[in-house]
Amino acid sequence: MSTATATRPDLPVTGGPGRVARARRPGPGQVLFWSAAVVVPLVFLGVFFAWPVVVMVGKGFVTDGHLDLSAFAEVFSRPRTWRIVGLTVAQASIATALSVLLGVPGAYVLYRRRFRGRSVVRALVTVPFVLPTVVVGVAFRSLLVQGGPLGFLHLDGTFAAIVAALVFFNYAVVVRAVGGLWERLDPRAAQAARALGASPWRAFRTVTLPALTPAIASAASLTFLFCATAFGTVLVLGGLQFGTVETEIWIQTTQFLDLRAAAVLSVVQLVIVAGVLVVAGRARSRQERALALGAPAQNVRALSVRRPAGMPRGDGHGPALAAAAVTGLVVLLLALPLVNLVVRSLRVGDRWGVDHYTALGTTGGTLTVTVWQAALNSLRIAVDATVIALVVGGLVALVVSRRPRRTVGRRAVAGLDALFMLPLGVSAVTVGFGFLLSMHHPFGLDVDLRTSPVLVPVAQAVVAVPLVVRTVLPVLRAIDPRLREAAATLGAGPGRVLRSVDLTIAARSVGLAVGFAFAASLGEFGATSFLARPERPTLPVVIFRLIGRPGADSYGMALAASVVLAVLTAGIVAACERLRAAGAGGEW
Amino acid sequence: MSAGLVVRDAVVRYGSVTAVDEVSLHVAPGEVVALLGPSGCGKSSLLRAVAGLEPLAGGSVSWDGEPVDGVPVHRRGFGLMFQDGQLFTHRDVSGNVAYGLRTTRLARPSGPRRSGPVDDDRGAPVDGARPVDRARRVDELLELVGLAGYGPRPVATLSGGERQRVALARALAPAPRLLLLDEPLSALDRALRERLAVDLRAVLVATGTTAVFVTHDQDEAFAVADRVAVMRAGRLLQVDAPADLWRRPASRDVAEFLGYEAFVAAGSAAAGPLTRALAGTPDGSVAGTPAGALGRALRDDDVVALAEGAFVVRTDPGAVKGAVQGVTSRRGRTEVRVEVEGIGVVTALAPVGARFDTGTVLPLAVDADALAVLPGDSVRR
Repeated sequence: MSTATATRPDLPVTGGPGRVARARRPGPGQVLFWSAAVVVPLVFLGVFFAWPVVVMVGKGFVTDGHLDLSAFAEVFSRPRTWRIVGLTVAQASIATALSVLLGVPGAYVLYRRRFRGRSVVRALVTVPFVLPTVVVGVAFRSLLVQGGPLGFLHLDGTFAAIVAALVFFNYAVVVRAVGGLWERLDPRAAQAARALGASPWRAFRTVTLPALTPAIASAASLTFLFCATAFGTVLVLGGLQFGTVETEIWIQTTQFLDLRAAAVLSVVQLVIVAGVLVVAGRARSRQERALALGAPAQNVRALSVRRPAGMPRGDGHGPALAAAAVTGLVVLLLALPLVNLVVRSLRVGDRWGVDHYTALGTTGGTLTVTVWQAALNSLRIAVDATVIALVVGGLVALVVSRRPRRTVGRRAVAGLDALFMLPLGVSAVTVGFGFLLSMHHPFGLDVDLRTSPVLVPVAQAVVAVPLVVRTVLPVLRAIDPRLREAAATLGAGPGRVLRSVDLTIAARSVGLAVGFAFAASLGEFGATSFLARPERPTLPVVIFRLIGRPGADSYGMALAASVVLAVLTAGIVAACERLRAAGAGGEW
Repeated sequence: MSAGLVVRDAVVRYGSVTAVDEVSLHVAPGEVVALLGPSGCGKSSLLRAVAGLEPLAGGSVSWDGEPVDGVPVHRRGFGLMFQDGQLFTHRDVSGNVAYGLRTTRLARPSGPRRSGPVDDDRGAPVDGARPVDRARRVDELLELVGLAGYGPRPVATLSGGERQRVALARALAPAPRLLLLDEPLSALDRALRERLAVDLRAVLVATGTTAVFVTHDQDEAFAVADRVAVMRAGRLLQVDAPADLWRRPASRDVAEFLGYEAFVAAGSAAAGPLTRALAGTPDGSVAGTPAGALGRALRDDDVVALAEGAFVVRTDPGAVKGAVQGVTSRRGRTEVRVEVEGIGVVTALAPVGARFDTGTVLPLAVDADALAVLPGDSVRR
């Protein structure tokens, strides 16, 4: 590229003496690249997300070519609708509150304190988050069901069981988000408060907590989003009595074939999700406001049961121990369903055995393929979905990480950011069913994409894109713009700046993004349950079919298959996270 | 029992690293002591240990004879001011200054209490902490630091110097019995730093505050402190009033840190003009002049230390000659790097505007005020 384009167009350019500083025109290559970076994701989102959703929702509101909004009145006049909406909000609110209450002490213990085995505990805490929702449902069922280890609590099929499963699932979201900030928070602000006479508790309440609030709010809104749109877990645990808007859409669509109700509920969910996203966006922008952050190493202190020598009483050792106790208990509770799942999968009647695992090589009498075949399908589809999600999500993150000088540009970037968060919250069921409706002669073309094997990975990629964006974006945003300026003054053209600065640094987070995308794809159930061809089911679909079937053998196979799926997902995420750690340590 | 702060044999360790190694220090009430040393010498660790933010691995800290080792930070009554202020960004200026007034610090009994079961801050406000009193105290302090009327401003709108002034007001508000300052001016640019150092000294004296002040800048230490404690590698090398420290560095380490740039054995031939200049001072035996500092006659194994300006460029033939290595200008004054045989490269002062070519040999006179004598036994290590 010519030297005339060596300066990024969105940064102020200082002209020579006596000249008015003016941004130079970007070169044609640059224009092409950034246009593609904006257009490709937008087209992808438009065709594979917006269009199916619009078609699906349209089915409910358009009768005989006329807009007919009477469905709203009709659906909202049903007590069932109000009950479901109430349940959704109640479940999500309570689960979010509990996740935050338990997650904040957890973040302190796991990110602000050092102790033997901390990395193992951190990994263990993350496992539930990446577990497929169906597996979480099965694991909780096997724990709470009559005859299970906690069967005496009679929690099977109750509201409490659903909330517990949602907390189980989202604890890691709070711990990771809050811990990540807390780890780098400059402890001297709280120390300044202490020196001004504040007790450890008051210093926490008045100084540390306000600094953490953006991270807590952001994590809480994300948790709320995940809880309000929970599908697989609630479908497995809730039975007929409990549900969310998401499961209700599924029931209305597949059981009652009431597309009008489904469409209304989709809109309701969209409104809830959009509202939460606005709150989350505000919280995030506040978090990215300059906070006094330090290097993690100097902020982290060793955790010991006994008060360290030289530390006076009343200096915060008690609260630290309390936080450690709470966290220890939570970690035990998190491990319980997982351990139980493995144990139960090895029970055959009254004896121990691997019969259920051997049965995975069969169709169990009623499945169309063997479970191993389904696992292979899942992996193949997940690879495709991950590649698509990485390309699309990576481009979105790259575009959104720019900070244009003009207000219009900044607004556009913020809008794009919010737009690509939508798939997190829009009903995967709506997307899945929308695919079925829209991909039959899409846009009037004479093709039927419904039978295409491409559809499943594409649908899963739509769900995974927000995760990729959220993982890569903070890393890109944290790049000091002066690094790019330094590269440019050293003679690097825009292309080389992008390659040598942005992409090189972002590559360190790509490992984790791959892990999350892969996990999301492996576990995706809502959309896949509509789209998977009967002869090519994925593992979660097979598990759901197995638990819906009577008989101890089917149930045993479901447990074994859940263990396989859990091990696959957790293993892949762990490997990806390890990849990231190696990259981060070796390069810088 | 000694009044004020007494640190006895304090040891601070981070893992296997010993940051503070058996340091003892006494600060009398109303006194301002500077801890001076290069970065990493342990001065901040010592300050944090006094504040109660780092546990002592050995030794003790006491106030007015009572040990405070078992007293948590917030009950020690020691204020602390950080390098970057650490203002609470979610509070405005007066909210920051008033933060420490919520507790009963103003009504604190003179001795520290052992930890009680109930926190101070939950009880009803006691005298000195009522809202009216608090507002008055905030105004009073803002005026003291020259920021009257800044109360409602958000801290994000303040300049670096204003932030440090607010931090100072905030730290002084609860009237701490000891104020600890951790490089409070280091983040500011030079002109501002010099001006604020003078203001800081004035505020500390006006409020009669006992203070320990950590810095790596000796000009700052000399401007603010009554006494200066020089630290290096975790140890305390010397504690003295600024003038005494400058005139009588206790060791070569101290002298080097203060900026003495050349050291010559008093018995060597090259030291002749220097020792003659020392002897020729108006009263060579009076304490306060270098030779007098020894309290005895100069011996051959004593070492003469030369600061910048120990030589002055003369027009008439001088006793010493130096070859010009380079010329710089500092605040208008010409400084010449000259190589003097037997001494090495030193900085000599020249008249304003003087220019010399490299290699020129200049006649030099000795200025005894820029010389110090280190007793021989302190140099032999």
